[in-house]
Amino acid sequence: MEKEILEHGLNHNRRKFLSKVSLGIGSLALGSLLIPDLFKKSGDIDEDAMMAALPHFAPKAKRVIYLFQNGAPSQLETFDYKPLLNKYMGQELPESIRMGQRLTGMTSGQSSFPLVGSYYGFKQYGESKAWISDLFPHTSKIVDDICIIKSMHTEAINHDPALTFFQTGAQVGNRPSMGSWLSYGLGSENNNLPSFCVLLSRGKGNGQGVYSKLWTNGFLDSVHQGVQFSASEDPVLYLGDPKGMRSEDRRKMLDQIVALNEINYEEFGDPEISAKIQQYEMAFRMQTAVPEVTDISNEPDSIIKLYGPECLVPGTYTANCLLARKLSENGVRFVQLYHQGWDQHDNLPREIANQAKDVDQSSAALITDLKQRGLLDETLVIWGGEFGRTNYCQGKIQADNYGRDHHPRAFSVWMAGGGVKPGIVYGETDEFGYNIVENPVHIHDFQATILHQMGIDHEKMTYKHLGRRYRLTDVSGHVVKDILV
Amino acid sequence: MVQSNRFNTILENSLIVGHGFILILIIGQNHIVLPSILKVIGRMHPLLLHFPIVLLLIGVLLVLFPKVLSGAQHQDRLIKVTLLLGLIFSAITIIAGLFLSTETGYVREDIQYHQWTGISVFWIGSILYWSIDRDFLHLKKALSISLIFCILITGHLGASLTHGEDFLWSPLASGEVEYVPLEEALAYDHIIKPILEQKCISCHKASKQKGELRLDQPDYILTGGENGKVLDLEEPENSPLLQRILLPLDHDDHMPPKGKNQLTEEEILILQAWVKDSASFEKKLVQFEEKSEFFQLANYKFIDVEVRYNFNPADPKIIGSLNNFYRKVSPIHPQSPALSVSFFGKENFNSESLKELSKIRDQVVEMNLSNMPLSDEDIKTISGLKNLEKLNLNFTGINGTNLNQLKNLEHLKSLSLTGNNLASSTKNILSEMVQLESLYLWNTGFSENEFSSLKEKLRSTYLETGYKDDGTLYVLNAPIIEFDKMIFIDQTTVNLRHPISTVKLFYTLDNTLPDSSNHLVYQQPIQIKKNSTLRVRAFAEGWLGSTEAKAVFFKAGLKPEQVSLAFEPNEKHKGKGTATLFDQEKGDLDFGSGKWLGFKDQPFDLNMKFKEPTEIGTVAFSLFTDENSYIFPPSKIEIWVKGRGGSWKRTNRENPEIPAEAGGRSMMLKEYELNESNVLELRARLQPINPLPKWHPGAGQRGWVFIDEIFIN
Repeated sequence: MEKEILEHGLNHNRRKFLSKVSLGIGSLALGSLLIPDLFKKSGDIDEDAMMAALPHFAPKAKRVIYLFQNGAPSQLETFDYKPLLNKYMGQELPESIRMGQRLTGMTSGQSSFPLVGSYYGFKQYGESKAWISDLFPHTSKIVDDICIIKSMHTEAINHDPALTFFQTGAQVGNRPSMGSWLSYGLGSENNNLPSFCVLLSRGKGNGQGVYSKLWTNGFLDSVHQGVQFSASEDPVLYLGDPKGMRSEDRRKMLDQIVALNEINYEEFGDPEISAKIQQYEMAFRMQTAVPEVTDISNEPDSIIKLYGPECLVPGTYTANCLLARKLSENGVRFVQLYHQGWDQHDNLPREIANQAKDVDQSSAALITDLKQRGLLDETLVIWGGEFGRTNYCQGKIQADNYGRDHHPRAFSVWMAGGGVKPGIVYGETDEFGYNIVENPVHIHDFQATILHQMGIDHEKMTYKHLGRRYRLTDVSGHVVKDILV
Repeated sequence: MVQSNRFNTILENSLIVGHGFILILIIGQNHIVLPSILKVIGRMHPLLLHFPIVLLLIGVLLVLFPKVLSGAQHQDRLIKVTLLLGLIFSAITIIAGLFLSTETGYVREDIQYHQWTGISVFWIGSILYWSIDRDFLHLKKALSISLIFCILITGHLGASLTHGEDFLWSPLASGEVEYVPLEEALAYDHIIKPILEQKCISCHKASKQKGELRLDQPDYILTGGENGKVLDLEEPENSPLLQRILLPLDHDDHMPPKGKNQLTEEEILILQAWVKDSASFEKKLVQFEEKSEFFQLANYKFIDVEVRYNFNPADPKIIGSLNNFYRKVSPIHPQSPALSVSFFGKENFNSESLKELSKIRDQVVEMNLSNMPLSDEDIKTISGLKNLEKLNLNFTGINGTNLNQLKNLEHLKSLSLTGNNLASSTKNILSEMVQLESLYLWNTGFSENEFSSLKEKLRSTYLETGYKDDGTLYVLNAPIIEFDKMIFIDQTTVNLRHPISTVKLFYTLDNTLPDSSNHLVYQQPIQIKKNSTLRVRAFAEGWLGSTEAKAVFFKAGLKPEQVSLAFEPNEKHKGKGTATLFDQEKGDLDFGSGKWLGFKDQPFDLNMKFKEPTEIGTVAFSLFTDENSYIFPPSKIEIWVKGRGGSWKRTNRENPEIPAEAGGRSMMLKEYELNESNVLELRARLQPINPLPKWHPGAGQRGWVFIDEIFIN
């Protein structure tokens, strides 16, 4: 009897038919419960697959050296020649030019906005006939090796957000810095050195702070964090073994620590633990690699003259330029320099001359040095600040003394090597140097272009964090193809 | 049929479930993202599909030709089981296929045809199965024949999907894509046509002329389609071809249509530039102006495709095994068989690490050996890397005489030899390396003449000779003074050094500035035995003499028994009171460190009593000056002594010079000769400056005096 009931169950009729068809439907529904992604909207990107394919195409540049001029050098005393401002010196900035745009709190209260022209003269140099101020005699000699972009613009109007925007693609903190993104995307070339190094120096001019959040790894693994070198004869502190400790003992100690850390990692699975293990190991290898790289005693005399004797004084911009070359030559992906002191709200003519003197010879020397070693093709060098400065005077205007406020709407940077067209000037501002009239380059365009030169599609290099995918260029950015070889 | 065939019934039930499952999948198809486990099932589709094909074909043949089995027992049952099994398998195959279709990489339209014919197989087969026991002979035959057709078509479409549309007929077609060098490349054939072929032609070709437009041949492109011409040669910007591709993606007229493979930004730019620049079908690429946008873009694209290598990629395992902390081996870009090798850490370099590269001898095209100590043997190893294109030998210590082994590297384009002291015979070797596109020779010891004769031999090579000393005279850096103790008992040893090894260090110990007339030349560590001011400057040929480095040394002296100050030091800078003055601990350049006593409103006035009559030769005051911080030398210094007689006698008095400008933080030693015997008491008075001089920002206010030690000898 039991058997018959079973047999009956297998027989089909309309009711059974429907119930069985619905069994198929039900199983799908169950599946969707058990596997939440089953009915997720399509269009998701497979992150791992994309990272495995990095670089996305043949890179033009292998390494970047970013000479950041912190505090925002005035474009009007450096690379953006505006004789009209000298002609109309002291006259009011026309409203048709300003168009009611946002100003900082430092000058928004001013009753008048008198135009002020450059205290320093300009001349044309090189085949590109680029205008360069007399403050940069050495840079003007390498003008045929660099590409001057006069049409940079940013969204931020104050130092910290503007710097953070430049370095991380967002005005608020906690996103990974450009160097960290590159370290994450491309890894290290030389495993004995960090792939992202940071060198700081300070000029005599009015300065603005730099903070470690500018070289943070953000939500990326902490191995991608920028390593700040110290401004002393020992660029990496505490690297030497303490007196009385032999290298073999250090090795044994590290092996024991690794073993302990691995036990912890097995238990908790925190990726920071494995990052820590890697950092210990790298520090051990850095014990020999760093002194070898930072030793300047074997640099020929002509190199000292090329950069200027200041390159022997640790912690100066010049010494950092030389160190940057040595690090880059040894496979450091991204060397970030910051030179403070470019914030000339007042006393501009005197301060900017000192600042220019600090950086002119050594920045130009870096280009020449990379070139003569056959490395400029594969190294992208960038020079520039976080925004520009106003064409009108902040405070009291005098023939030989004036100041300029922050101006995010147009400023100049230059790039060299790494597949960037040499000897060109890109973009143009209006006659007042206030607004861009040709080929604007947004920060995200600039970042996209750098990534492109390193072989990365800026839209494809993403990292999933807190439920969304982040990229350096956020949701915009176009590669500026016009400036590429 | 009796219910005895339980197996059949179970299968029939499963078949019904399968129908439901497939129905849902078809409806929900576009909204499904599969977890990876189901993707695996999906990818079994190409394996599974063989079962239903075979089973259904056997079943159908048996229906069509029942005589094959005539006489066999259970003929009908056999047919039914075969068909049923075939249908079950086709259900599984279809489900797997639907899973597979959610993965990317297929053109949706191609899948559609395959999908629907496949499902037709399943449906037609099912109808055939349920009609098998009935008597509609013609229906059964018709169903059978259409089933065979459906199977064949499905199979063919499926094969086209996996192997490409032309898979079946391609053996009959001829021609391979040939590699064209830049000079011979045609604008249309080699730049434009490949773009059209990839992105447009699938819908605009002989077999499928959407909008009656064909883009597969120049004539048809010029003819246009149902909406007229696509190229407007009068006003190229208004060509519908460009307008369509530039419309927003969501626009109905946008091309390629939404869902199809889109043109990249770069391809759009190239098409635009080509149309604007005459839209020529015949011109060679090099006939375009070098500055034209099209040439630049096309050339850029060309460089990417130009780098092709005809050797096989190396085994990834071998590449992996060659990578270590000191040697990086990686492809020059993804998918490229060409490898780039870099060495780091000269202490870890040896000839063996270079020889190991023989495993990837054919694939290495770039090598960076800069700063590695190379031997003759190493150059020989390098010469075995026959596809090498770029070689960096900067600062490797070679003398160049064995570089002739590199002459036969015919692909070598870039050679960098900077920083090697090259023998002059190297010039002859290099002059034969005409394959080089660039040669870097900065800092190799070659003369200008040698450069120019080399330039003549290597006319097509870019020769980089680098920075030359332009005769600008730079001021040398100040030397560095190293010592253990600033205050010593008998003597102290002082070392001098300078970061540039070729300099000469001139020094004096008598507080005069070293120049050509008065100096001593530093040769070995200096022994200092008395109170001294050491001043050092560096000199070298081709440089201006350095600024001075200065250090002051003190011989520890007598300690009075009792010391008292007439006026307390300033509250902010009181140190440890009078104890500070005789603790033999020098203050540093941080005057707030607590090692200095500071006086402003009242003078420094110190009385020192000795236990017994003492002979005093000199008294020295160690002072600090930093004019920017209002700290000046005292305006007046006076010293008195009191002997057995009991009356005070002034022995010294000086009004030190007032600085004419700010000079930065500096130590100052003021030493006075007394040569008094039988001294019982000593008094010293240092008057702070008042008022500050006119040039100073604080002119008119009081200045400071800072003192940290007194040395009595």
